[in-house]
Amino acid sequence: MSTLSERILGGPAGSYVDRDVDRAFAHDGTGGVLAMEAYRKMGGNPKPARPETVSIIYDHIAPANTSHTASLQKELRAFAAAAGFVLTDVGVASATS
Amino acid sequence: MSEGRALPGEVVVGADSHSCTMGAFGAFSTGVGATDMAAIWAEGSTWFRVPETINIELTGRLPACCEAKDIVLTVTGEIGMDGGTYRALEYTGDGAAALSMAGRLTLCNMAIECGAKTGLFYADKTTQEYLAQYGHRIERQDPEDATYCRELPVDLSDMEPVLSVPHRGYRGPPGHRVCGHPPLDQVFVGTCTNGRYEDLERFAHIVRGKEVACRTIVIPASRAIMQKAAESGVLAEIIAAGCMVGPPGCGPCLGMHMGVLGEGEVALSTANRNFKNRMGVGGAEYYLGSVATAAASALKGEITSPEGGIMTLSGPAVCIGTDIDTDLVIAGRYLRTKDTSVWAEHVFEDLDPTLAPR
Repeated sequence: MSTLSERILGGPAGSYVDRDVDRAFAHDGTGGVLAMEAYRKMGGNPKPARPETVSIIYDHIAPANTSHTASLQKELRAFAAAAGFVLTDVGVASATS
Repeated sequence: MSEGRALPGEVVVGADSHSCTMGAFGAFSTGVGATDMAAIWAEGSTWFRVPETINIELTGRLPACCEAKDIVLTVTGEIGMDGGTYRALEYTGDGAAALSMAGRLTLCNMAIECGAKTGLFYADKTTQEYLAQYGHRIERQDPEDATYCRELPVDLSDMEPVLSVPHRGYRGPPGHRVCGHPPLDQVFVGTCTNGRYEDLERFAHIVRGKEVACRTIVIPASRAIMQKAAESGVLAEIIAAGCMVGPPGCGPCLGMHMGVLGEGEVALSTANRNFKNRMGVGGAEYYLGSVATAAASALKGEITSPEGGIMTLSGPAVCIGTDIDTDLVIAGRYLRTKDTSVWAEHVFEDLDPTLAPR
């Protein structure tokens, strides 16, 4: 008999499991400033394993508050498009997939 | 994210600590760091340690003056800010089944506030009906007789409107009441905790035809919510009451823009965190409460319960150490009186002089 977490992750509490990720979300802060840079340093160069599962949502500083923020958001837009990610930008309705 | 983009049984990660919100749909949903996210982009997979689970069994029905936010502030206070570390919180029982999807999202959103890996609801008829709006047909998830690391029964009929006090959320003594009605510079309604349509509608219902007495900012969580609130007239009522509506998203919650507090200002927010220097630096103080508490307080310009009374703080007793002797509880120099109200002013003074004033 399992908890819901055990059922979804496929192992008993305390065990370690490898799992495919069904959905991966990042926002304009973590996605743009941090994850994108880390991904580049890992040598990723927009070729993600399953881009259709990745969503970038602009909500933390959106619309941008400064030119600096705007430039980062511009860079992330281009990165997400090249990687094939779903991007929810300012004024865009939440996509359903 | 809550508009049909995460489904029951899925493994969901987000590069944000409040990614646990999607557990409301019966997904295993949790926050990861940005470098973990980059690796997940590259690999499409990751590893987890399967968490132990706390079963929070909700029974009974909430009083009309209370909402899901009051449940989660109370539960977080009960568990403590680190009492749920790397555990999952499962919400079960007839009281959980009776909660709307908006309420479930509020509860799961704040799982991280007690350190939990995620919060979860089992997908049921409410989940099916909600996700059907977005074109998803999903299977129900029925609870099994599982092994939990802790059982935490909560009778919703005992609930009362509660506040989390600045700056470390959940440390007030239980049942302690805020003295009087602290005046407010600002009220903020919104965020991933309480920025959904039902929240805006509840707020509008209370302020309808009246005027707020302090600066009040209302920010829908998403564009879809803003559109629905615009079409239904809810936004018009909020604006007519003297509130300012901002573009959808996080608003001032993380302290970046659109309503950040000035030095020494006091606010009430419907968000999930009131850590020092978050929504405003320089000693700004912000309380956390429900939408109804925010509405009642905005109309008065001071902290007021939805029924017009004083507020109860969430939180267990403060743990200040395990090696405490009686002189540390109350120093001998104060024992010349038997007046316990004098003792109360100096309790634990030699350990933490700020405790008694708090």
